[in-house]
Amino acid sequence: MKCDQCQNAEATIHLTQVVEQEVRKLHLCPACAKASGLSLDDPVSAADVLMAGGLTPAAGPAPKVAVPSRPCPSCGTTLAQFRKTGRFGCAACYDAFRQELPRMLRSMHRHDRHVGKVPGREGEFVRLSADQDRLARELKAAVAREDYLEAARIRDSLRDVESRLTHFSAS
Amino acid sequence: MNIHDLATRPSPSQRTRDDASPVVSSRIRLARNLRDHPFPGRAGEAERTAVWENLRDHLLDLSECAPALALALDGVRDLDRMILFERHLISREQAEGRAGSGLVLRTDEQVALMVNEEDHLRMQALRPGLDLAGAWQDLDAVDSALEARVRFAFSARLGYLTACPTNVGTGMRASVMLHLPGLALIGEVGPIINGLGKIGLAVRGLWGEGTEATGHLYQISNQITLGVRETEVLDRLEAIVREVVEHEINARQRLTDSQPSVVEDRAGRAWGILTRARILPSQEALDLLSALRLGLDLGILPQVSRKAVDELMVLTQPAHLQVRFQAVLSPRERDERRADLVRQRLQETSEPSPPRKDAR
Repeated sequence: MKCDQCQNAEATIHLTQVVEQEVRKLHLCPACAKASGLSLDDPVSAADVLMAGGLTPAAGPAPKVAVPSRPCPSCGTTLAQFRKTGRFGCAACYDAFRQELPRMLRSMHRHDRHVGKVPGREGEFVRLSADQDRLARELKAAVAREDYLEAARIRDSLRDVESRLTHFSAS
Repeated sequence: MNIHDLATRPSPSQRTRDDASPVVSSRIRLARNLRDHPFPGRAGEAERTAVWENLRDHLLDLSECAPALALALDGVRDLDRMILFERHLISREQAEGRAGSGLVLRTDEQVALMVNEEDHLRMQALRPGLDLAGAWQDLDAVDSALEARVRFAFSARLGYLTACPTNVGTGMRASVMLHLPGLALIGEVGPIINGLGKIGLAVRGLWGEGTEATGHLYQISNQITLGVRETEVLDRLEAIVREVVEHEINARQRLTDSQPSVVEDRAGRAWGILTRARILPSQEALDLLSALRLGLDLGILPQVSRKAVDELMVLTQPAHLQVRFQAVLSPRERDERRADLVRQRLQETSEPSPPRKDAR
């Protein structure tokens, strides 16, 4: 049997996961297993089962296997470390491992979106950052369609948002 | 105020009101992290210390938690950390006293802010009786005041970002401590625990996760922190607690109706041992105080002060005893001092009349 991940080497590691009443099987060669943060010396922990969904097994005819995440660029935490301890290393890990999150959060909380308290200041920062992203996209689109009048207007708004963000970071 | 004062005074947050309610106390904790620092588990000693000093200075400045006491836990003796732990002011993890872990404690003991636990901040509000709304009001105010000074790790989609994703979102865990001897005696605690588990609530013993329900004390808390508003969680928890309280009161009624001698016998034996024993291990003391407390709630042993019983539950813990007597005591010595303290307190605070055999 070929490895589900590289489709090349012989699969010698066979995993069976039961996720939300659904039985899923995954066959990996030792190299891909290791690259996915799975080690035979380090058996699957309870956290793996709870947070199942990192190693995405073959579903349907075209096996779709998640590329193992890179370590968090900010703190260096790897997916394997997270699986073992159940703890992220810093706030940026939530972004680095965002592919892992939805399924895991739904199994823990039955929801995947915050609806509670929003801190006043941080809420403002989050809103400004979202505005910045949106305006940057709109600017690019306006330039692409050569609507320079509109582009100039957007650029002014963007500058305004950016100066408020700078002020924010400085405070 | 210093830690020795804590060891000899009753815990305000565990002090029950002088009624027969099974609710002991309410507690809410909020997990928060600073945006630009790795979480404590990933941070080195220097970074942890810097975070502690920064947060300590801000917290001591807030009128919402004044007057307060700041303690760097690595600079506090083991016994004093145990006092804080026995009073539920710090967690077991914090009681280890790693460098950079600290506590800012409002001197009324109703707000306890742990720094560099699993998250940069674990803020707790503790209240006697069922008072989740009061605890939330206190904690929300401290949180908002602090947020005006520091940048919390927050995402619009996921809310407050925490080291463990089981806390992400509100970062809020609310729990209510209940004394449930009636349900325990008629064997109905198990089914209730299972039922609560199915609706997303956890039931734990006195010391949290994985502990036995010593003295028939149980904590009920929410598990879900994402996708539900804080006030919704609190309202729901409070409604469930009221239901459990009703079950407990019914259970007590059934016990007194169907087997009055059993209830009186338990309370009477507890009274007998507690007022005569010379060696009293902590587990036994807590179980007997629990039996005595049930007796009081049911009107048996009317001469005993309920307040004294509740206070003894806190003051007879190992570290409390040692700090009170200012000595490192062997387990045997502790059991002797505990027996002395219990005997003395119960005699001091109780009417001279013997337990009424025919009381209801």
